[in-house]
Parts: sequence; structure tokens; C-alpha cells
Amino acid sequence: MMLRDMTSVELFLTRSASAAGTQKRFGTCRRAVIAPWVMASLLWTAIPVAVAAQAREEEQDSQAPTRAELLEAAREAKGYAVVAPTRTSVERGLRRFRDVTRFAGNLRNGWKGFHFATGDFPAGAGFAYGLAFTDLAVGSFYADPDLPNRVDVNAVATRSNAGYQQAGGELTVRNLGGGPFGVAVRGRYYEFPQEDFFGLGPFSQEEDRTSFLLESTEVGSDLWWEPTGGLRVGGSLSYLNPRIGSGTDTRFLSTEQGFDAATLPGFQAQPNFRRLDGWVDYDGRDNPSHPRAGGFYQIRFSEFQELDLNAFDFQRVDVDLQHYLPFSQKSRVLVLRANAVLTYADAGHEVPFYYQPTLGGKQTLRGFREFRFRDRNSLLFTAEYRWEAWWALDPALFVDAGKVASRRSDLDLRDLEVSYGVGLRFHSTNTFIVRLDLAKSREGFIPFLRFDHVF
Amino acid sequence: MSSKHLRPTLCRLGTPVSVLGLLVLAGSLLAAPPVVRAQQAEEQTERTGRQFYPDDPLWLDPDTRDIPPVKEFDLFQDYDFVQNTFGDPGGPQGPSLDSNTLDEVPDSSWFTNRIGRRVMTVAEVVRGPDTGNGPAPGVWEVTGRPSGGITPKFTIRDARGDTYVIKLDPPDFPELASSAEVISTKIFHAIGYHVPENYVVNFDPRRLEIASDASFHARPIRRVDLEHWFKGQVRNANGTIRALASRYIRGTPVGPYRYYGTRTDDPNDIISHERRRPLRALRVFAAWLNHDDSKSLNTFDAYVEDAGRRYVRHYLLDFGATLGSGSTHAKRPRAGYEYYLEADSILKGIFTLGLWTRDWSKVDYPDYSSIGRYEADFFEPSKWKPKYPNPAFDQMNAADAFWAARIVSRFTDELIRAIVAEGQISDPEAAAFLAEAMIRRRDKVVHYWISHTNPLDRLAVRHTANPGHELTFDNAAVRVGAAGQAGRYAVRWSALDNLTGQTRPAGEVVELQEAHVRIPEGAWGRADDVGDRYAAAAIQTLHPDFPHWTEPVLVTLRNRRDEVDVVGIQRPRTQPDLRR
Repeated sequence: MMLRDMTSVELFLTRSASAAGTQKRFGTCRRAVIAPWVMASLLWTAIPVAVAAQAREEEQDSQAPTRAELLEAAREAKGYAVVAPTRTSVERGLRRFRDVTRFAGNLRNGWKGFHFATGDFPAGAGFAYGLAFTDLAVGSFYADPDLPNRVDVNAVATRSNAGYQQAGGELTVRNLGGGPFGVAVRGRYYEFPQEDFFGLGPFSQEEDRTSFLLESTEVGSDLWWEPTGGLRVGGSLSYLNPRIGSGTDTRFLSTEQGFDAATLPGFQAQPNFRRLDGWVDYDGRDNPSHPRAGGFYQIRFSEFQELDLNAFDFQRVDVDLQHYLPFSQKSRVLVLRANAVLTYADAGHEVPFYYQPTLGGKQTLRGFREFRFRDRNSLLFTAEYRWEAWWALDPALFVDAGKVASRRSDLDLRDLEVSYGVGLRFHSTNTFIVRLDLAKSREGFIPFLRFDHVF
Repeated sequence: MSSKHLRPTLCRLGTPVSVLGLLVLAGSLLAAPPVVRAQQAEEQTERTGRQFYPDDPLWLDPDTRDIPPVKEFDLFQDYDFVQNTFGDPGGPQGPSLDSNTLDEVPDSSWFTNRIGRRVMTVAEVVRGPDTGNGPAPGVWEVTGRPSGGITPKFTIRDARGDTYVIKLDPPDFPELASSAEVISTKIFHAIGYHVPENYVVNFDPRRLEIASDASFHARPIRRVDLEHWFKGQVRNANGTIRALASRYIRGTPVGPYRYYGTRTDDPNDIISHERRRPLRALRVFAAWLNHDDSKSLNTFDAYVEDAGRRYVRHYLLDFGATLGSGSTHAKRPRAGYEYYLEADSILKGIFTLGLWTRDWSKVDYPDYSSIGRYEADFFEPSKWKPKYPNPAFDQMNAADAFWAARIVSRFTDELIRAIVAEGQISDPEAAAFLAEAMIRRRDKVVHYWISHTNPLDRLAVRHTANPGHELTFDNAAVRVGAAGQAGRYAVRWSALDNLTGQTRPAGEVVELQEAHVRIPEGAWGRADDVGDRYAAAAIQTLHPDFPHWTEPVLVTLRNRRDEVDVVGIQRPRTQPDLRR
């Protein structure tokens, strides 16, 4: 131990011999920047000198040195060799990374409500970029969720390198009159030029992949009521004017080249729609960002009133049931999901192919490509087992099974398409961050890197 | 070669040679009975150079010399985590370098002996570092909002002009963080660390005024900010809000300190921090109080002026994440049991598909919102861990832990209850639970670490009626109830030449039932250059339940003009089996 075993020289050399850089003359505060080798030379010279001086004093006094004197000598010697603390290259690198992250965060957070946006495009849109404006709780410094008559404004304009683009805005008023009501008006124009189409029905072929343009302007208004915790009841009215055109994905034929456009409902005749929605949902999840218990249950009824041709009136019912079964104190969770989309069209009416449900991709049949199966009705089951391997990581095993069908009566459990796989879900203590999935189906493996949960 | 030099030498030779050497050594030691092993160990001793200085033992490390100002040097939290998790920044393993020849820690800019060395009254302990009663009554002026840390907080200037950081309790856990911070502050202060003054306060938000230059995120602080900060805070019946007021530390902040290396711009800082006992043994105290946030970012160096000298004083601070508190929430279940990142646990977790679960995840905590997650049943001192590796903690050896455990043992039940009362926990049942858990964890800590090594202490010399002196000692493990009976002792005397470090065996090994032994005349070595003579004793404790106690405590006596005293104590410095 230094205060018992070591001489002052030894203890000083234990750490500070490597000191180099800026030297401070101890006692006078005089500072001079000198080369490291000069510093090292001084250091190695100063110590013997200090010790020799100490020894001479001891000889003259004919007294043994004291421990305190040796410590004093060591500190005196270090006083000749003080240098400013330095940072390692790793620390400097991490600081730079932090600065870059902050810069990116500032871009995202923006300036006076304007911020960088990445868009909300369908899968396959490529790299997206754009500008958005967000003002939550207009007129207030804080976006207090309980603020009466809170007004939120959102506007966005984005584009992707695959030619996807959209622009829109939304004005929302929450806690109307201080009550559990909300109302929103919204409008959006979008142009998705490379939407995938493999054909209709459960027997479509992967090699028949084509692309088409989906373009639309949608305006509407929503009204909802939250009578009690987790329960929401709402309705909306919208105007839609979808337009279909040739796809621009050069890797594949355009849809009208790969398929007989005349047999695709809505490809050639392109009317406008009025859409009425009514929905009820209950969110009983313990943490919607990264749930481990509870469930989310929603049923939505939509009526599409075609305004021009009297050929595409139909109704659509979406049922989505998610349940989280925790065990071992929520360290393991079995996630179950059942989803069905049913459409109803009167005689002489069709459901446009672009409003038909699809299966495949990041949130449904993960072993198949996005929009791989499309028809008037769909059924999907998912079971996912997640377990906590680390506080920030849940691996997962999953299996998805589902089918599409032209007739509702064909939505049975026979001939389901199946995909399965493994995944990793990274999260903070309470917030989902990213998932990595590797899914397998009869059509091969598909990896995913997604910043949203499976559902 | 002396045993104390064995470990560093083997380390230098490299791991394979070290392992081989240790195997050979272990084989030879196991082949001989304990008493003979001690004799062999003592005979192998080849101390070199002067062993003791006239002013030994030193009780004051003069590291408060006047130095020129040092500049602030901040640490980067992410780097601290990365470096300590993926690197091994501490130097080679070795004994602590800041303890004196009696294996105690002198007072210094790092540590002041308090409860471990003297009797402290209950009033003295509960007063702790406080110099007053907290912020002065009257108007508080809000001056800013610090951005560091995770606890919601703001700074105020009181009517006296003193500055405090006001830390708010988590809304769902009222009293949690403030009580934990005050309780731990009192304890760390009584142990001997430099800590800030922390007070539980109940303030009226209407009493706050905003300073004209108060800013937050580069914009002025406004009344609406205060309303937002206090939204959701639990209010007392009179509308006040409970919080913690932490007084600004006097002096100039110059950044936190690391748990390794030295501060290169501080001439007084000549001992690598991982070799400082108060930092190494902080592991023991932190385990007791579940201070898993004991990282560099929660330390503080201040350039202070004291008695005409200016120097750097070293503090511990931010105890809001101690006991069952996680500052902004109840402590996470993993707190104290697993590092942020442990590859083997993660891999095991992944590949067992969740069938393997961490045993700590099953601990059932009582439902006290003001206590959080703190308990004593599952707690094991040797397995406790901070959030991520700490190089000083990793270097803690048995002697360091023994030193710390003896200090912990000084906190009586009465004292602990009085300290808990300072936390002002309104639910008496919760407060009683906390005190009881602290008492039981104290017992576990003390029993484990005191019995982890040859537990001899209270070594002293007394005159005997028969002309001469005898060495007396005590068995700390028996005293604290960690061992049922004292066992026997074996003492081997040697004469020590202080100037050369050479020892000469003096007589045969003496076996004792009682904890005292006569100092033989032949045990004194030749006089050194100041006329002092030295005798050394290697004392083993022979106990069937604790075979490792046969590793001797080496005691050195000094005869200075017939005044005999204990001048040296060297405890076994074995590295405890700590999970990393």
C-alpha cells in the first residue's frame, strides 16, 4: 500500500509517468505547452532530482524520512508534470456520434414546428424524405393530453426515391368542451407509382408480380368519443377519388400488361367514392408501445358509396383482435391475433381491387411479399411467442397463417398459407424501438428491419 | 519473495504462468498443515527496504496541498458505460494504496473517518453534512433547470442567496426518491464520504418567483413551465409539494472523477482511483443501500478553498437511485443483480427460449410506493452488482471489504431507524419495513465480508504484570455474530529489521485458546536509524467452519523507547469471488 509499502517514487510512477502534454509549473501557475518527449524527459529527470534532494536533506538532518515527506515529494514531483486531462479516440468518436444523433434529432424535432419527415408510404417505396409541420396543443407550451379543446395541427409533404409522394394535413381538436370527445378534419393527396399486384385470389403466382399506380385525393372528417378508459367509439365521413395507372417499377410489367385490365374491377372504370365509417375499439394493453399484457380489439364498418357509375358500391367489415397472454411475471408473452376483412357488394356491384384486403408483408403473412395475396375477403391468424432475454431484447418465434377468398364462405381453415420465423424486438424499458424478423414461407425467406411493431 | 508481492509478479508473467504458479503454490500449501503453512509463508518473506517510517501510521494524508486551479473536465456517460462494459480500464490488480500501515484509511480529500473510528451520536449522524435546515423560508427564486440526470429538477436561490437543486419525486411514487436520497446521504456521510447537504422540503409553488435570467433549453423559464413541471405531483393538504433540496456544493465544479487512474491536472491526486480503498469498498456500502447507480457520473470534484489552501475535494452525490428508488420510478427488478449488458445472460436468455428465467425476476416486493423495490431476503452481498462494471469495485479485495464491513457494523438498529426517520416517510408501516430491511441487509453484509477473511481486529499491546508486553486482539466475526465460536489461534513471531525488511524467526509457533499472546523478547529486531525496534507476528485463526482463516494476519509491533504499540497490520488480500 502506498501509505505503508511504497516509496514516494514508486507511488508516483505507478500512474503518472505517462503524463505528457501541457505542463503546469506547480506553485506558480505558469503554463507552457511543450512537446511530449520534453515532458517525459523532465518527468524522468525531476523525480531523481527530487528524491536526491530529499536524500541530501535527510543526510544533513541525520533523520529518517517520514511518510508524509515522501508523499509531499511525490506530489511536488507531479506538480511539475501536470497535464490537462485528455479524451481517448473512442470517447471522441462517441461524442461525435452523439452530436450527429442530436443533429438528426433536431432535424426531426425541427424549428418552430417544421421538421424533417420520412413519410408514411407503403413497403417498397424506398428512401423517403420531406418536410412536415407539427404543432401539438396550439397556443400552449406543452402538449398536455388533458388540455381542454386542445388543437393539434399536422401537415406533411414527402417524396421517395421510387417516386412515391404525398401531401396532406390534419386539424384535430381533442377534449372538446373538456369532455371525452374529439374531432378532426383531414385531407391528403398521394401518388404511389409502384404498388405490387400479383393477381386476385389465393392461387396467384409470385412470378406474376406487376406494379400499378395508385393515386388519390382524400378529404374527410372524424368524430370520436372516449366514454371510459380504453374504449373509443367513432365515425368518419370521407370523399375519395382514386385513380389507377401504369406502374413504374422497371423490374416488372405494369399491371395492365401482366393481367387483363378488363377483368380487374376498378382498373379501367375509376369512379369517386363517399366513405362512411363507424368503429369501436378497446385498448386494454398495459403499454401500447410494447405490450406484454391485455389486448386490443377493434371492429370497423365501412360503407363505400360510389358516386359516378353505380357499379362499385360495397361494404367492408374489419375485425382485428389482439390478445397478450403473459406468464412468468410478463417475462414471457404469447401474442395471439385474429384478423378478418369481409366485403359485401350488391348484385351488379364489384369491390375495386385496390380496396380489397391483402395479405403478405411486414404485418401479416411475413414469409410472403407485401400485398402478395389479394381478394374480396381475408382471414389471418398470428401467434407470436416473445420472451425476455435481456431487459432491452425480446426474441420471438412466430407463425402466421391466412388466406384470401373471393367468397366469404371460402374463408375456412383449409389451405391456409403459412409462414413462420424468428425475430428480435429491441426496446427500452417501456418503448419499442426496432424489430428484426426473418420469416420463411413456401416462397422463401424474407428479412425485415422495422421500426414499428408487428401489429 | 513475500506473499504480498506474489500476485503482481505472477500477473506480469502472464496468465498461463500465473495459473501454473498458483497451482504449484496451492499444492504445496495444501500438502502441509495450517500452522506449518504459516511458518513457511513467513519464512519465505523477503521484505526489502524500509518497512516503516517514524510517522507511521499516518492518519492524515496530506493531499489538501494548495494547488493552482484545475479546469472543469466533464465525463461522457455513454463512454463511461462503453469503457467499463467492454474495456478494463483499471490497472493491474493489487492492494489498495491509500491505507496506512494499520490497514486503515487516513483522512484525505476523499474520505474523513467518522463512524468507523469514533463514536457518533444519533444526533450527529442524522445531522450528517447539514450546516442548516435547508432553503430559507420565504420566496424562492427559480434560476434554471439542469439538464443532466433523469430526475425532474430545477434550481432555486433562497432568501439567503444559497442555491439548491430541487428534485421532484416521481408522481406515482411520492416520497420515494427524496426519502432514499436523504437516508443514503446521512449514511454515506457517517461512513466518511464527502456528500452534499440534502433536505426533504415541502414548498408552496406560489412561493416561487422566476429569476429574470432563468432559462431552460435556451429560452426563458415562464410560469407555464412551472405549472407543467408540477402537473401530476402529489400535493400535501396545504397545497405544498414535497421534494428534495440539494444544496450546491461549495467551490468550483471541475467535473466528476473516474473510478480508475488519476486526475492528471491535480498534483495531489497521485494514487490510482481503483487503488483507493474508499472507492473499492464503496461496493460493500453500495450493496447494502442498493446504490446501483454508483458510477462516475454521480461523483463530483470541487476545487475548494479551505484554511487558506485550494485543492480538489471529491464527493459522492445523487443518491436518488438508492434503496428501492430508481429516481423516477421504483427500482427495476434487475437493479443490483445484473449489469446492463451481460453477454452470457443474454445468450442464455435467447437460446433457452425463455425457459431459463433470472432468479431475481421472481422476487416478490412489498407494495409500498414510498419504498419501491428493496428487500433483504433474496439479497446476497457477494452477488450484488452496480449498473455496469466499476473498475474500483472489481479490485476490491478481502481486506478492503473487511474494512468496509466493520464500518457498516457500527450502524446500530437504533441508528438506522433514526436515519430512516429523516426520510420523512409518511406511512409508518412502510418506514418500519424499510428500516427492518436495511438492518437485515446490514447483517448480511457484515457477516459475509467480516467472515470472508481472517477476522482479527482490535489489535493492541498491553503491559503485563510479568515484565513485558502482550499482544491482544479480537475476533470480529464472533463479535458480530457471524461465527459461533472463536476457535484457536496460531502465532508465529519474527524479528523484523525495519531498514532491510528482513525477518528472522523467533521461536516456535504458539497455539492459543485466548486472544492474547505474550511478546517474546527475542522477537525484536535490531534498532533502525531512529532507534526503533520491530517485531512481527503472523496470526492464524483456526476454525473448523472457516478454513480460509488460516491465512495469517501479519502484525508488526514497534518498540520506541520501551513504548510498544501496533504499527502494522496486513490482512490477507485475497480477491473475493465476485461475479462480474
